[in-house]
Parts: sequence; structure tokens; C-alpha cells
Amino acid sequence: MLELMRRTATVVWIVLSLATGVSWWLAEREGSTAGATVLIMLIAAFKARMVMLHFMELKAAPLPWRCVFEGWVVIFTGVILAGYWVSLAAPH
Amino acid sequence: MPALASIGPRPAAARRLPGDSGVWLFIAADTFMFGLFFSSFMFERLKNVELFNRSQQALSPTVGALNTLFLLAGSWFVVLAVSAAKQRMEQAVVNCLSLGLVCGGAFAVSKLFEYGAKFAAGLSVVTNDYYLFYFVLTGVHFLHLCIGLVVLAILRGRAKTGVGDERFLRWLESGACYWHMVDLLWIILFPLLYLVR
Amino acid sequence: MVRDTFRYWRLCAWAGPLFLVTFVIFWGILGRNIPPLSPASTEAEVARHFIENANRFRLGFGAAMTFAVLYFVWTVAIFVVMQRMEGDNHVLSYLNLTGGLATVCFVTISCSFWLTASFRPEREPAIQQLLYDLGWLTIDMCYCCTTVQMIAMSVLFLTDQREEPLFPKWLGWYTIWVAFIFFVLLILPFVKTGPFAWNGMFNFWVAFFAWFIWIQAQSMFVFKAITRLEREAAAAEPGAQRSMKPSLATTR
Repeated sequence: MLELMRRTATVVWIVLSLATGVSWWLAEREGSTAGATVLIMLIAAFKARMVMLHFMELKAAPLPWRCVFEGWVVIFTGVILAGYWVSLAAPH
Repeated sequence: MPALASIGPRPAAARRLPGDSGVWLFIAADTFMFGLFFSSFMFERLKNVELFNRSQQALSPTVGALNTLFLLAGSWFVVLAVSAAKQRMEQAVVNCLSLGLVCGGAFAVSKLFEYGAKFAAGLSVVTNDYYLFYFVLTGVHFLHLCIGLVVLAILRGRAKTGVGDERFLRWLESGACYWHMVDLLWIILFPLLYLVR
Repeated sequence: MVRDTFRYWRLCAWAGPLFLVTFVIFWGILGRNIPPLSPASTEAEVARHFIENANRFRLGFGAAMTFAVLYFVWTVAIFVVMQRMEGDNHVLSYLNLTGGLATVCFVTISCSFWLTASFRPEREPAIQQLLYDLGWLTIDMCYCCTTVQMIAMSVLFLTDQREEPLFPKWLGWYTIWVAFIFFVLLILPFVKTGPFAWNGMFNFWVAFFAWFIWIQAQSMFVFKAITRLEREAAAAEPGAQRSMKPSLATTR
């Protein structure tokens, strides 16, 4: 069991858990600032990409498949951030 | 320089998708469907930013973050299960899948409590547009999670006899990728619903 | 004899694409159901919808009810192919058959509500709205009949033991995906606007077009499967190579 755990996946899991902690801390401490929200979304995108590359093994997948999923992260993080940006500009 | 050569990009022949190649069409279709969910959430939010921000206050980021940790741990155990299966360690496969099930189960229980608290507070799908999205998006995700739990349980049941069988490994990898997708979707869903304001 | 059998199978399989075309024309275009009126429309708007299009709708929904039967014929083509694949256990093919039959019933019933509304378009607006609602709630909320049909099919396709499966795996997974996105329809009774309403992005555009694409993709591979089964059967006939057993023959 210990032998199994000596893998990249374990490091990835620790990094992902810490990143979750950072997002939570950002939300609790300065939840309502725009900077915190953007940072939280970027951390989420980074986490999603890590799960894809290391857990779903897309790192070793044929490139077109990898592009589809990396593209997914870029497109929808972009859409969410764009939507957020527009909502900031809109009069309240 | 063989040491350097191994760092470069892998040759095309060595590149492969884990599991059944068809399951990846399902995963791609599903993630893009959720991408549409995220986009339409942001779009509807623009129509009433204040309502969305105000309604969001009722959700607990702490519970959401805790749920993320459950799923991340679950995913990690499932990764370990797959590598254990490749090394034909039957007992380790069973143990890791059990631990993965426990983590997924913890997420499910906490979500049920969360829903219960919302209903008790008089919040439901018809309360407003924010809660419509909250219940639909987390609900569809919850359905995915429940299916994932059933899949893991089936794989765990077959692990004892299946380890060493090429077909079992393919199903295990497929199930694992599906399970990671559930994790992946929650990773975006959590900040979107609980934290963006 | 063998050739005749498969000729009927193929004829039934043609009902799939034919259903799709007629459904889009009569139900969708003539029936003005692509896209539908918003569920938030007032009684007067719905009443006007039927007064202005009465004859168009009489033709559209009458024909749609007639041609909807093609879906059942198509289901039978899939049923016979599935029976060959299943061997002694026929439960999945029967689930497909009953699911397909029920789908036809509810599509037809929902069309009959819209047809009733266009039969006497001068009726009281509130009743017209009731009929319009009935039509949409029936066609959408009976989704589970189609889900059962699709899940039965995909389970069989994905557990196919042939070296080269009769249906590609991706089709099985796509089928499962469509079967599952139908569950989002559960939210439809609660909303009158937005992406989950019966004219919204998810519960209309995604749900119906994912189903349409599935019918087309499924039809294409039913033809391929029938051709393969035909070759296997021909090889197993007396006079052909005796060593090839039908169940083991894998035509490439």
C-alpha cells in the first residue's frame, strides 16, 4: 500500500487539497472582492487541469483528446470570467 | 543520450486513452453539457446579479470546500486502485475502491444534509433563479455521483476475480475516468455556485 | 430465404431516417414546434397561435400522428438485430421494443392534443392553453419510455463479446449520454422561462436534437449490423463452409 502511494498522483492530490484550502481561505477572508473571485476561478481551472492530466491520464493521451479537454478548461473558465467581468461593469 | 530522449514528447504509438475509448465520448459530451450549464448560469446571473449574490449567502463555503476534499481524496484512492490493478495486487484494489466509496459516500451524505437544511429553510427550486440553478446543477451532479458510487461498488465486487483480466482492467479504467469526471465537474461547480460574487 | 428475411429487416430500418424527416417537417415545421411557444405565453397568445395556423396544424399534426408509427417500425428492426445478439436472453430486446412502442404512443397522444386545439380554434383561450400545455408536458415528461429503450440498447451494445462489436462502443456511450440528459426534463414542470423551460436551451434544443442525432446515428449502424448478420447467416447456410458456426463467425 505504501509502495503504491509513492507516485505523482499522491503529490497531485496533496497539491489539489492545498489549493482547495487556499480557495476556501480566500473566500472566507476576502470573499466579496473581485480580485479574490478571479483568483478562486483561476485556482479552480488549475485544479481541473491537474485532475485531467494526472488522474484521467490525459497527459499520456493522444493529442487531439488532450486538446479537447484542455480547450474545455480554457473556454469555460474564459466564459465564466467574462460573465463575471460584465457583471462588475453592469450598474447595480 | 537516452536519458534526455525520455523527457521529450512520447511517440504517438505509446499515447493511449485509459479505459474504453467509447467512454471518452460520453465524458466529453457530459463535460461540455456541464460547460453549457456553467455558461447559462453566468448568463442568467447577469440579469439579476444582486439576487444571485444575495441568495448565495445562504450557502456555506466551508461545507463546499469539505465536499471538494472528499471528492479529491476519493479520486486519489481510485487512482491508487488502478495502479494496484496493473500490479495485480487484488487486496489493494479492493481496499482502495472501498476507501473511494467511503469518500464518495461522505460527499453524498453531506449533500443530503445540505439539501435538507435548504428545504427546512423554505428554499427550493422555485424560490428564485439562483436556487433553480443551485438545485439543478448540484442535482445533476449528485445523480452523476450516485451512478459513480454504483459503478465503483460493482468494480469492487468483481475485483477479486477480475484482477489480471485485461477486460476488467479496461472497465476499471473507464469507471475511474468517469469518477474523476465527477470530481472535475465539482471542482468548477463549487466556486461557481458558492464563491463567485 | 435468408435474403428475404434480411430484406424485411432493412426495410424496417429505413423507417428510422424516414421518421426523422417526416417528424421534423410535420411536427416541427408545419406544427410550429421548432421552436415552441414559450410556456410563459398568455392564453390570448396561445389562442391566436391556433387561430392563425389552424389548417396548417391540422395537416401537420395529422400527418405527424400518421408517420410517428415509423418509429415503432424502426424499433422492430433494432429489436430483431438485438434478439440475434442476445441469444437465449431476450430481456434487453423486449425492453427496447416496449420502450419504442410507448414512445410512439406518447408522441402521438401529445400531437392529438395540439390537433384538438386546432380542430376548433375559436374555443375559449383558457382551454386552448390547457391543450397546448398538455401536449408539451406529455411529449416531454414521458421521456423515460425512450430512456428505457436507449439504456437497454446501450447495455447490449457495450457488453457485446464479439471481437469486433456489431455496434461501435462510442454509439453505446452516446446513447447512454442522451438517455441521461433526459433526466433534466424533471425540472421542466417548475419553470416557465429560462434554459430549463420547455422551449429552453437544455430541455428543448439539447434534449430534442440529441435525440434526433441519435436516431440518425443508430439507423446508420443498424444497416451495417444487418449486412454483417446477413453475411454470417449466408456463411452458415448449407453449402457454405461447414466449419463456420454462426455464433463464432466474425465477418470483417
